[in-house]
Formats: sequence, C-alpha cells, structure tokens
Amino acid sequence: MSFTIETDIAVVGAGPAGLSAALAAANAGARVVVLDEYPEPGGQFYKQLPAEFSVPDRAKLDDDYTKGDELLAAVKKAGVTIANETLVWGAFEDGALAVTRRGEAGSVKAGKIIVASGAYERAIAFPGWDLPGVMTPGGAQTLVKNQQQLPGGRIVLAGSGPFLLPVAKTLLGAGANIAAIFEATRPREWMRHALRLWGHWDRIAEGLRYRRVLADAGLSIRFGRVVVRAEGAETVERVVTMACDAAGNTIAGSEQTESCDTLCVGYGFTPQVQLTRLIGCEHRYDALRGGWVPKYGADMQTSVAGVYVAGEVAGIGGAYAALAEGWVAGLSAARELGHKVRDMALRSAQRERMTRRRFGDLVNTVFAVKPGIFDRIADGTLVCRCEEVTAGEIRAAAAAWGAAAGAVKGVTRCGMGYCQGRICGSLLEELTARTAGCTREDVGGLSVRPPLKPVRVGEIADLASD
Amino acid sequence: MLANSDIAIIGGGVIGCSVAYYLAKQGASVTIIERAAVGSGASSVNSGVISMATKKPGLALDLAMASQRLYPALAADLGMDVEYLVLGNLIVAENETEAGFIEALAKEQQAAGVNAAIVSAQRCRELNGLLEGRVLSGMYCPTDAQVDPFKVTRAYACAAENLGARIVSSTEVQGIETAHGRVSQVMTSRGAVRANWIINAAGAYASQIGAMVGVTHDVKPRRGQCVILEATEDVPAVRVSSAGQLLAKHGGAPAGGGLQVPLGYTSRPVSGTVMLGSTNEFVGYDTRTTREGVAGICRSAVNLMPQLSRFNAIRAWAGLRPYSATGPLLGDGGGIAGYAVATGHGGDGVALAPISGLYMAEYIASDGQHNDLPAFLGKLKAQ
Amino acid sequence: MKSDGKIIPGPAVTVHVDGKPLPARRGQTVAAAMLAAGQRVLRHTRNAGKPRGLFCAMGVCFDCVMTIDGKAGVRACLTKVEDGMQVNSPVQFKRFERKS
Repeated sequence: MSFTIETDIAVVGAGPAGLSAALAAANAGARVVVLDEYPEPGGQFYKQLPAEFSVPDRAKLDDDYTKGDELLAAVKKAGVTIANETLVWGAFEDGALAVTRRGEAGSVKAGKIIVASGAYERAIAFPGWDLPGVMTPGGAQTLVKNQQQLPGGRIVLAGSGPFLLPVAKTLLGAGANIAAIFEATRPREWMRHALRLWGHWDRIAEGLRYRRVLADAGLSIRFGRVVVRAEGAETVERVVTMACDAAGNTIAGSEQTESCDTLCVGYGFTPQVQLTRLIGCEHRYDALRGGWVPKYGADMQTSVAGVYVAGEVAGIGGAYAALAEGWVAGLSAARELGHKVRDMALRSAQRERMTRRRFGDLVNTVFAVKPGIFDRIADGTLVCRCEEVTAGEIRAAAAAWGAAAGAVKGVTRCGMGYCQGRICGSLLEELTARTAGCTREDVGGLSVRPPLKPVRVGEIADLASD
Repeated sequence: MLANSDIAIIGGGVIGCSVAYYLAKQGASVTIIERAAVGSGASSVNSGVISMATKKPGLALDLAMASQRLYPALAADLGMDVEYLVLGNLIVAENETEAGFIEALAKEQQAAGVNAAIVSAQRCRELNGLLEGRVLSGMYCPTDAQVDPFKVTRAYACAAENLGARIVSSTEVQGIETAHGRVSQVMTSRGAVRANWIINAAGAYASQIGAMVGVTHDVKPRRGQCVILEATEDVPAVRVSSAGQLLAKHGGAPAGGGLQVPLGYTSRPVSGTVMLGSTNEFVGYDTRTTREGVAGICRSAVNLMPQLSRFNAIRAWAGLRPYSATGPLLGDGGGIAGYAVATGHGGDGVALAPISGLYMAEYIASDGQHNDLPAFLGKLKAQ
Repeated sequence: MKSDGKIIPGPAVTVHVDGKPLPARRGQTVAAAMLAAGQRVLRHTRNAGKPRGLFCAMGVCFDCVMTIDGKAGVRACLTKVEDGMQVNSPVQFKRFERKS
C-alpha cells in the first residue's frame, strides 16, 4: 500500500545544507527526518562510496571522502533519521509531501519543511553537446568518486568557474589523462575583484593547492577559450575551441582542435527549485546566484509559512555557505516549533552565513556566464535534449508568440520530456527573452507540476484513499 | 488608444482565435485582447479530443458534427499542421446500469447519423489491448478524432494575424464602455480598444466580462486534472473512457461519494505520450493538482488497464473549463447592442472551435440578425 | 574501474545488456558498469535517432534512461546493478504517421 512518515521537521536533501540543518534542529530538540533521493547521503559535495563497496581502512582514503564523516556521524548520533532512496515528488494540498521509496509510495507529514535540494550544473548548448562522452564536470567527478570509474581515456575540461579545479584534482588522483583545461575567463578579468578576496583565506589557500596539483601534473589552464563545438560519429572524438573576449564573443581565426574521448564542460550551477516552485513559494530571478531562487527572510523561511530553504537551492554560493545556511534554517525551524534556541547561536550562524555568501557572490561575479556565449547558439543547435528541439524552433516560437515561457514550451514541446525542463528550461527562457527583447522576469519560468520526477502510475494509484 | 478595430475579442484562447480568423477572413478588422498569453487558459490544458460519441443528440451533437466536418481541411485552410488524427473512441460499461445507458445512447446516436455501435467485451479488448479490467460491453465510434490543441490555437492565431488581425497579450480587460446604447470600447491595462462589436470569448472568466456590461452568464470554471505518461512505443491508439463519466454528464449521478474519477485514456501518437484523466470539479479558479485528483486518476486507470501500472507518470496538470449547463453560448450576448458571446464550451472548446468561429462570423456579418444556431447548422449541412 | 586496494567493489554479478551478459560488481551503477566495459552509447533518441550517453550522471538530465527489468524510463546512472538484471536500450520510434 503506502507508508506515512510523521515528524517535526522534514529536510529535503542530504547534502551539506540539509545535514547541517538536520543537526542544528535535532540538537535543539526537534525530531528530524532527512529525505534524500540517492542511496547514500552527502549530496554532491560529500559524495560517498556505494554501501556495497568495502573500505578496509577508512583512514587511508583521500580526505575528499572523509571530509563529510564528522557531520554525518554527528547527524546520526543526534537521532536524525536519514531516509535514503526517498524521492520527494509532490507537495499536496494538506502540506504533506508525496514521496516514493524503492517503488513504494508514501506521504511525509511534518510541522516544518526545510528544502535543501541543492543545485545542478548549468547547461550551455553548442553543436555536439549531446554526443556521448560530452558530460558535466560534476558528472565526471561523481563517476570517479562514487563509482571509481574514469569517464574516458583522454579528457578535456572546459567551461568556466572554480569547480573545474576540484574536478581536475579528482580526475588526476584517479590517473586520468587530461588533455587540456579551458577556462572562459582570463586572470586579468579577475583583477578588479581582488580586494574582495580579503578575509577568505581558507578559500584562497584551497585555490593555491589546486594550482599546485595541476602544476605537478604538468597541466596549465588555457584561459580565455570556450568550446564552440564537439565532433564525432557516435561519440565525441574532438572538441573545437576559440578564444573569446571579456564579453564572451569569439575571436575570428582562433579555432583550435583538441582530440579527446571525453569533454567535461560546465558553466557553474543553477538552483534546483522545482519543489519550492511546486509548494508555491515566491521566487525571483537572480542571474548572479544562478537563476530562479526562492525569496526568503533572515531566518531562511520562504513566502510560504513553515517552509524554509538552505544552501544552493537558495542561490549558488558554495558548500560552506550551504553549511552555514543549513544551520540557520535548522535553528529557525526548531525555534518556530517551540524549541529553545539561543539568540547568540542564531547570530553567529548568520554571521558565518553572510561571510560565506559574500565569497560565493564574488565567485559568481568573476565567473558569470558571458553574454556572448548565448549569442553564439545557432538556430540548428539542440536545446531540449529530451524532446529534440532546436534553438531555431524556440526563437521562432518566441517571435510568434512573444515572451512567455509556457507559450514557447507549448508550441515547441521544449521542456515536456522526462527532465521537465531542468536542463533546457533556462536556455528556453534566455533565448525567448533575447528574441522578444525583454527580461527573464517578463518571460517567467516554466511551470512546475507533480510528479517532480517520473513516478509509476501504480504507485500514485496507491495513494488514493479507499 | 491601444487599438481601434471593427471587432474586439476578449480572450485569446482557441475560441477567440478561431472567431478572429473567420472574421478577418471576411475582411473585418479584429483585435484580440488576451490577459496572459495566447492559448494559456483551457486551450493549453486539454486532450484535444473531438468526440461525437459523448454528445447528447440534439443541438450539442449537431454542433459537434458540423465542427468535425470542418477539421480535415483545416490544416490546409490555415496553412499549418494541427495533427488531426482519426483514432476512434471507445466508451466502456463496467456495470449493468452503464451497459443499459450506452445501449440506449448508441441507438440515439445512430439515429442522428453518428457511426457508433455497441461492441462486446471481447471486442473492447481487441480495440484497445490495455483493457484487461472487467467491462461488460462498449460503445465504439471509429470516426472520433483528436487534434493538438496548441497547434490548433496557434494555427488560428497565426492565420488571423496574416489576415490583419491584431493580438495584444498580457493585457487585462478592466471595463467596457458604452455610447448611445451600444458598446464603444474596451478599457484595458494598456489602453482603450475601440470597437463596434465586442465578443466575450473569455472562457472560464466569461462571467466576469459579462458583469462589465451588466449581463449574467452562467459560465462557471470547472477544473479538470490530468496525468501525462512517458512516451512509449506502440501504445494502443483508440481512446477509452468509462461510461460512468458520461452517465454523470447526461444525468444520473455515479454511485459513491467523494471525487469520482472515471477512466479516461487518450493516446497522443505524435508525441508518444498518453493522457489519463480527467476530473470534473467545481473549485472556483483553483488550478492546483491535488493528491485526490492525481491518485484517483491513476487508480481508475489501473483498475481497467492494469498494465499502465508500470508506466511512468511524468506530469500532471489542471485547467479550468468554461462550464455552461446549457451548452455553448454563441451569438447575442444579451444586454447592450454590439455585445456578443462565444463561450461556455466546457471541455469541448477545441472540438467546437471551427464551427464556433464560422457561426460568429456569420452572426457579425449579418449585424446580429442571423442569431439562429440550429438554422445555421441546418443550412451548413445542406451545402 | 580502478582498484588500488583502498576501495574494494562489491561481489561480482552479471547483468544483461540488450541480451548480452556484462560482468559487473555490486555497488556499480548500470551506466558505470557499461562504461567500464567500453559502452558509452546508452540509447538513441526517439525522433532523430541520435546517440546519447551519460551527461549529468546525477539523475537530473534523464539522458541515460533505459528499460530495466521491463520498466521504461529508468536512470542508468542511479540504478545499481543486480545479478540477472535485464537492461535494454529503449526502442527508438518515429513519430506517428498521419492516418487522415
């Protein structure tokens, strides 16, 4: 049939923000259940090994695996229930969350909900981006960290943003052959932001460590270059890059080809706001923080009473901001339920949060997606991977129907496939805004409906009351 | 002044766009005033089914048949594909009451010229291989069809624009002004639209527009929720619905309380998806999908088509039908001169768009004199 | 799959990909097991027949969907192998030909 989970606080997502929120709330005395889609907790940042793999001596593991151990242990010790393989797919009229766990339907009823659903990589389309072997940097990192599997034999990293560095480190640590690393920005473009680095010593130290790793491998980053196309028959065989200026416009005559069997290309992240949209929280468009983000107050509560957000879902800011924000949300939610939370605890978490957000915003500013990159998306380029819709079809629909994401979607089928617009939605909105000559707010976002991810009809049927 | 035209149409759904097209074809200058985006209301949240089998013989059926006759040539007329597909429609009876009901209905339908026949339970299963649940008999209409509602709305809108019609979107109607006993202009959030005729094609919001000219239209929003399944190869194409829903529609309530969600299975061959549903709920203007609705749709689907259990649902949605107990309101709006209506189509807007547009064009061309829908349909049939 | 003694994959199992046996280790995802065996093309798209493989590897893009043990639309990047698992590349089908 179907199961029911009842608790004080339901946390959606077991990444840094979710685990942090769970611990803070549990310490304050609340009953907490964390719901996570994946088989092992930790999200992307604390990516764990599969439970079926064995580790003879955990101390010998790279600290990339163990950095989350303390938090995970503390969460378990505090009595938090972590429900793995539990996907939240709906939020219904009575405030309950609809979930599915290993093929079984269920409901989660909680006094407060903290959405910590994280983010996923921002997709930028170019010819050949759908070829097997072209993937996100995060995907490559997951393959290596979680599955001990190299994505390929000759890897090119490209795109923009500091995330390419830990991915490179992970790949090199696994013995990968990295042919080249391309970064869209140039160091001289960073200079004017240098002063804002003040105070973020641990992040600077981390950056320098990555630089050392690359130098030891004989690798240097090739700045100011973007991928313009990937080529190959059934899989990627080579990528073509071009130099670009500060606005992202490619410079004629600068084409270079790099042979490879894997291209990991990423341009930062975008918040995974499907659940907050479904619940009915108000959102605003924040280009700096990755796209549509939920509006929230100082206590991390959204416009819907009893629903909080924390971490990347609230705006891209990095794992340390997520940890701090989770702590604020956990304490706030627990306090709202009547548990004792010292003002000082909240204030100190708020301060940490603001510091980390400042750094996150700095990174986002420096590595913002350059406008020229969108201009270059030619009409024939695939945008909606699920339904196979091109940029030209989207532009034509926007020209005919004007600036409404839903109208363009209805006419082209872009966003109607399995991923429900997660990958293509932002591109649809951006191309529509550019074609119609209006803002992203004017265009709006694609509407979100249940199920948030595919669920079997049979399972949904089980939720019907008899 | 936002616009000045012969006719202002309030509502840019499939009806508004169809009316605009046929009027523009006659040479009239037309402005469509749409509060959100063209087709963003009921026109974008329906199955696109064109069904004669579900229509009560009489005006409702005559209207539906006349409209279906216009569909095969529509794509060519409008210059755009609308994905008109004749897939057939099967209404299944799950108990004796329903079996008796469809038997009587089939006779009435046949007498009215519909290609409908009673078929055995065995035949039902042959027509749609997913039907493994208990059915007693079925009524099969092989000529029932479906279209893509987005494409129909778009085709009408584009064709109307090509003939000079103008569509203003994201424009809310705030009032209707009159002068010398006739409508004179529509006040909108972006300026006034002057017109000699104002046509209320506002769908679920028709009663709000009517109130602006002191007319009461009994058009209520009626929510329908649906569930869309993943694209799958070789799903049976024949539409299947249970007679329970029809029984309620034509009089006689279904057994039991709560939200009754009878089976509705509509394949969408071009996309490969399947649509299950829908509900019929009076909940004001609430377009949320509910657990009761979504789960109820899936439960009734699985009861009659157990294999659907393993299909993935990828999306549910909900929309508001402009429900009118007396059927579509076409022509004279009642009240002030120059005010006309084209609304109240319930769940049949897409199916009835061609005939509605054609009739309204005749009505306007005759300056409101030709206000006899049955006579119009009779004349059309004779041609 | 790399094996340096620090991390030991789970016990050996066999999955069947489009009828052909593929050795794998418990804990591996279907997609990773196929990648380890050199198979990067997971399916071909419904309309244009374009090859697709892993893209996001975290369950967001649904490019890796395969039919697993008779159920369609299953993400190979998140599904762990089980002994005897049947994995099939989704059938590619063309859009419906108009009948009328």
